[in-house]
Amino acid sequence: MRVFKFIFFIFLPLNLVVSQNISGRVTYGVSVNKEYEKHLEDNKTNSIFQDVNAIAENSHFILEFNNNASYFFEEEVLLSDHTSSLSNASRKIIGGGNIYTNLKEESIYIDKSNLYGEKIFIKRSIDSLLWKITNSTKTISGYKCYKAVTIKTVKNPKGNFDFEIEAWFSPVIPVKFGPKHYSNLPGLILELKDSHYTFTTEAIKVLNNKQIKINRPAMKKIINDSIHRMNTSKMINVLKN
Amino acid sequence: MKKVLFIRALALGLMSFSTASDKTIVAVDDCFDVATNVMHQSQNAGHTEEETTWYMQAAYALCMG
Repeated sequence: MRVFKFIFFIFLPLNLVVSQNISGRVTYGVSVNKEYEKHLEDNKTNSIFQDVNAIAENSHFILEFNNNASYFFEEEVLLSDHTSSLSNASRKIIGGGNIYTNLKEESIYIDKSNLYGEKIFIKRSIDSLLWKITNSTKTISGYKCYKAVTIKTVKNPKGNFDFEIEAWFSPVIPVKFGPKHYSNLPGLILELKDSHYTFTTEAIKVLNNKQIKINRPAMKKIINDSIHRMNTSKMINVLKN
Repeated sequence: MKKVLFIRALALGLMSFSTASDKTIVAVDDCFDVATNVMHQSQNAGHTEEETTWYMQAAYALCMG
């Protein structure tokens, strides 16, 4: 009985923290990773890569969240006709498309509308990345954050590319969301170093004991991730040989 | 055939080529080469196939004006 009481009182505060209603909104700015910049300079690549990076440096992405769901999207900008196709592609390259994550469904839905010329969402499981949480800490926008790292492997026709992904999350905001599709850490990700770009919190508003509604985007057509990957590979394979 | 498939793939995302003139076809040839070059550079930089597709689409659209 004593053991039971001990376990109960140890885990009670933890349960309260986990079950508290919390919601909010984060604005992330974007910067280009140094290693990527160097690669582009060393390899004298087409100017389009620098154009996309220039757009990245002026981009802002928003993450709205509550305990169960989040929506990640690019802040609306007015585009001229001249730059709209480049900006449109850039936003997909940098942010990966608007992303709706639902923990109860264990799924994420990614808006790939323009890739197919119609309103289409890709459905896939929430990432099961193996994060390694370290003792390193730093304060971001007033929140103490811990560093977590994982390896992301990109496979393309040129080979396998391993990138170390770095996430700074705050257990003070106990939701499992972050920029792009990154999730599954015991706190909100306030900074994320992805393969080519880094997302850093510029502004944050957290509402304790309040649940804002995260609207599920209107999804007329949803296709499975495996079919989407097959379609993308087909487009690339046209030029492969 | 390869070019036709490629153009169709791009057209899905950004544009339509229902009324292509001779002048357009010349531009298509040049821009095809630009997009192919961008594809290789994107893959060498470790981008995913999807990101590469976006780079190709943007490069092609810019080249075509």
